Amino acid sequence: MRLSSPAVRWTARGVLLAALIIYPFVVPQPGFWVVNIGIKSLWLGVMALSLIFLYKFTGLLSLGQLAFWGAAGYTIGYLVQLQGWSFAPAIALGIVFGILLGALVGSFAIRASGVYFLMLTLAVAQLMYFAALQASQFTRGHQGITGIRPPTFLGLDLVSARTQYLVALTIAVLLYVLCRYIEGTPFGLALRGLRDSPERMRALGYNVYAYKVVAFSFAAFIASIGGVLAIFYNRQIVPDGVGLIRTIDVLIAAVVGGVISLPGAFIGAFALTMVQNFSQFFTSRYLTLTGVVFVVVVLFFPQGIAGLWRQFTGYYLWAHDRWRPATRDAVEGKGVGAGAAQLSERSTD
Amino acid sequence: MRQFFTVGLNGLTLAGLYFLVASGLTLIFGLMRIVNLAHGTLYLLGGYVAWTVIRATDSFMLGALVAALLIGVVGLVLHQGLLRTIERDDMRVALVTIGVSLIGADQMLAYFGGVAHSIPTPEPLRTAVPVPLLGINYPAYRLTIVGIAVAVGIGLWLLLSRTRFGMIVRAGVDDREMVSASGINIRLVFVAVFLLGAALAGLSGAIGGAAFSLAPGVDMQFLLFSLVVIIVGGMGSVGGAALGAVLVAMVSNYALAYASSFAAVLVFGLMITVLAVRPQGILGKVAV
Amino acid sequence: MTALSRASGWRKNWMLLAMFGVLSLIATACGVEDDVAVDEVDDDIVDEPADEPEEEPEVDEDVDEPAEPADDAIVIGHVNALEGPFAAGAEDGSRAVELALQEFDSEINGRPIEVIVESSDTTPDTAVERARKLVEQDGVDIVYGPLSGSEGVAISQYAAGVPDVTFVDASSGGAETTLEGPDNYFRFTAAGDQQGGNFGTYAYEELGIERVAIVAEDYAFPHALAGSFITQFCEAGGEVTEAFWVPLGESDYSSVIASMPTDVDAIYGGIGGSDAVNFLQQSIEFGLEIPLIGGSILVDETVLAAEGADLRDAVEDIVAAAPVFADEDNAEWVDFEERYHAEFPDGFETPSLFAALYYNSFKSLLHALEEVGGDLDDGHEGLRNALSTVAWDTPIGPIDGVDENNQGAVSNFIFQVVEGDDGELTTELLRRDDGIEQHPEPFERLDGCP
Repeated sequence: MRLSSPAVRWTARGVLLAALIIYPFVVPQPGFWVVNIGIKSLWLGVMALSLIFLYKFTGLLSLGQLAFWGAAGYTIGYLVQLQGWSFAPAIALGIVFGILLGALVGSFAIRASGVYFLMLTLAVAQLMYFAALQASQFTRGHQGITGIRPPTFLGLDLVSARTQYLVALTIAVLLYVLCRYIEGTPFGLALRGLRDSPERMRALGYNVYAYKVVAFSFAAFIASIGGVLAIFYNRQIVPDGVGLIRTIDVLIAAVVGGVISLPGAFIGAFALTMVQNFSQFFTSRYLTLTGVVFVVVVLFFPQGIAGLWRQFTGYYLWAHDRWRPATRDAVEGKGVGAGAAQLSERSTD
Repeated sequence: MRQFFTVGLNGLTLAGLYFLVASGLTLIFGLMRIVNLAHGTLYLLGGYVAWTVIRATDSFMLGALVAALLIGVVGLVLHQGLLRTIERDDMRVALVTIGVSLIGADQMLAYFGGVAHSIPTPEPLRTAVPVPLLGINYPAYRLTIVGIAVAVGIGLWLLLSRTRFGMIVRAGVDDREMVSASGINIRLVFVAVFLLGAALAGLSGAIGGAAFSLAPGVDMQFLLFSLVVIIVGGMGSVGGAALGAVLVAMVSNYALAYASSFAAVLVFGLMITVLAVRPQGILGKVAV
Repeated sequence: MTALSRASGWRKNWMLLAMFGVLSLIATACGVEDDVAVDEVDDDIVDEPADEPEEEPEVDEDVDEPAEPADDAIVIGHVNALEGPFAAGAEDGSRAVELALQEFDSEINGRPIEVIVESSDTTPDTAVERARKLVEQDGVDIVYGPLSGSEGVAISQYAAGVPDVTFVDASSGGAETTLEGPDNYFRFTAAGDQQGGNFGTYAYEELGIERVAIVAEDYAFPHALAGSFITQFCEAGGEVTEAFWVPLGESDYSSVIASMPTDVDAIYGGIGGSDAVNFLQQSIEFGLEIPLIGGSILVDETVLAAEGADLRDAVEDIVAAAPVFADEDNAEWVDFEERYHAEFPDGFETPSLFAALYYNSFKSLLHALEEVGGDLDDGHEGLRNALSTVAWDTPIGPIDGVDENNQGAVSNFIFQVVEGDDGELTTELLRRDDGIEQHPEPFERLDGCP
């Protein structure tokens, strides 16, 4: 049976999913492995998913997803903790606010492309950070809104680490499946067309602008959900949560995982979470370590961890085709090209 | 009224520094269409280098010179070592330089620690000089920054508009392939421009380090403000950087004087307003 | 990919979803309770495809101790801000922890003390993650730390959820940390408002200052510091004409200085670190002639030790209040400083603020542990009682138990920066007040007399 046959793949998915569900019941020290590693990887993964969705479908790389994370988080924190609302309407409103902010930011940001867009969204995230610091009637300033106790929903007590993990897992899987679904819908196909040849699509009568704004708003929706999950995890929302370091965390998770691969979001988030928790066994300079890993990944593994298999089989196939000593041209052309192809094609168009 | 003008003068001097930092960034972008997000790191490193040299030799000029040269070389190494193979891919360049800025910030913290470092202002500039019309005394060093910024601005303008090198750069901005095809080694021009841009960051570090202290976080602060400056002014345009610097510095200073808590928010608000109205920046060309 | 195969792919996605739904229902039904026995069944595979199963977490826990932690060790987890802007201070704090441990030969009643350090980056989210790792993964008995205010507030809220562990604050100054903190969280160092001591009253009565303007950074710590000053100053009869709350991290104070009122007797500065260096340097450049007085952070050693800055004209004659003072007339301080220098020749010239605060808080913990003979088997009840009543003479004044919020009273030093006999700047103690208690409510940002 071939490794890529549907039966094998479905078995693998089933096993993986089962493992993920059993996970909280079998790990030692669940307070650490379920919470610090499990839930953290899931919500960070959702954030990376938001970034990757946008990149995969529009070719736009955003550093601003935390702004929507923060918009949802602060709305919930403010309404629940400072206004005494119950969670359900606060969460609904938080997500709506995240999406609206996404539509607003999207309506001017998507007019930019490439590296302009990157800087613009970075500025949006920073604006969110400074606003969180300054609008202290709503955000309680530097200290943030703290002491948020996760609620009980439909009999699910989110204070319990395992329940919270399973809820986060369900939501993450749903979002992932939703993104996969969109890939095949006319909307998803149109987006990819817009990404690859906007002029042709425009000629075909597509409203490029509207499509992109909707895509951006959808990414903001995913990010808002990430914000909801994170507020249960952190039990607080503070300006540092939308600060530059966290912005870069999301970027690192997405890029290391594989910036054009939806599952890469969670792989990257998991990898980053592990490094954050265990790096001090190798080094006291955590930022240097992450920085070096990040640079190496961008330079040599542009498809990230998720693309490693494809990248290496690519090398293999290429070497196989040319069993004779390769010419210099081919080495240079293909050596970089095999891995870099997708990332660079995207961003130079 | 006097206060109003003093604040304006403060804005102008801050604008001088912002322009110095942002000019290097916009120069590199203008020709190569890449953004060096480690630019703030180069600024801070330049400041630390100048601080070290000045402490050892007591010469401000020497410190500034060494900072400019050394950071130019650091930029060169960065470009040749990491960015050369990917310089056609603006996104990956941005990502790699983000990684470099993380590493740089961490290493500078390890080496220079968290304590603020200040470069002593050069002795003859430590006085306050009377400003005509306003009837106030103003620190000579701050006025000197404006002078340097104007000089650098004019220098860059002359370089770009009056020399063969500038001609190649301007042609390269418009059409890289055509320049290459006409037998000019555009690679060499890239190297020179990257070196010049980095050197400007190093020089600004030395100059800025004597006005504002050098400490962890300053790298990101100056990177962000330079980005805002060139986004507002129009990326790739030296004139735009000057205009952007003045606008940003004015907004931040008047905000500090009259609504101090909102300074940072207003600066980013300015940027978003400009973008909403004119996405390519005030003096920017339409993005390709 | 053809439309047909995509359609069937989608059907399979539904299958996936359904499968997942069933599985999670089963899983949730049999295990919502958190008391599931944890047995070593399987390698845990986390997250999405292609992950190699990570190893079982048989992680060595020792950091700076010899390997193989003894079975009967008392394990203290230390959350320290070794990354980020306070790295140097955090490191100096670790030196003080080391000093205190040496005094007890790193053991209590024959039980070795083991310290596991986790580094945070001064953000509250990270601080809680580190604390949770110490509690859940390393199974520490006691959590010690953190350094900064917002970290402390967050950790004390986390502490409420783990009542079996005892928390002792290292040096953080947030008001809510203790005011709203749980019973298992103790703090022996000053909250923000305590760091101001009786300075507001002193400024009016002793310094004869009647009108001040405030310039301070806009976050919780200066809110508390300046808040306590303003409240006392106004109660004594003084007037606050204007307050400038400047964003944290602002480097250009020139326009704030230009906007300062001229008809005040003094300007109160609640600015710290590199911002303070900028403010002081610019107040010289721009010829600010009104005398400055300061909160504890305006002229602490991180400012006075700023490399290369010539702040002399600005800081000379400043009167300020602080929770730490290098008092050469205090035998405890002299002893502390001597041992610090003997043990850490490459440490600071004088032990830093953080060294003094960490020493106080950590040694208080050790004293309490000693009192119960290292016995934690009573669910920490004995330890907590001992912490509540711990009393000893510290290098910076006496500690004598805690209040109903588990906050200790502290000493406060009002001092002036003056020129010493050798022409160098030094500090001169004007007054020491002992037993400064925490204000019962957190201070909001005040723009004038309340």
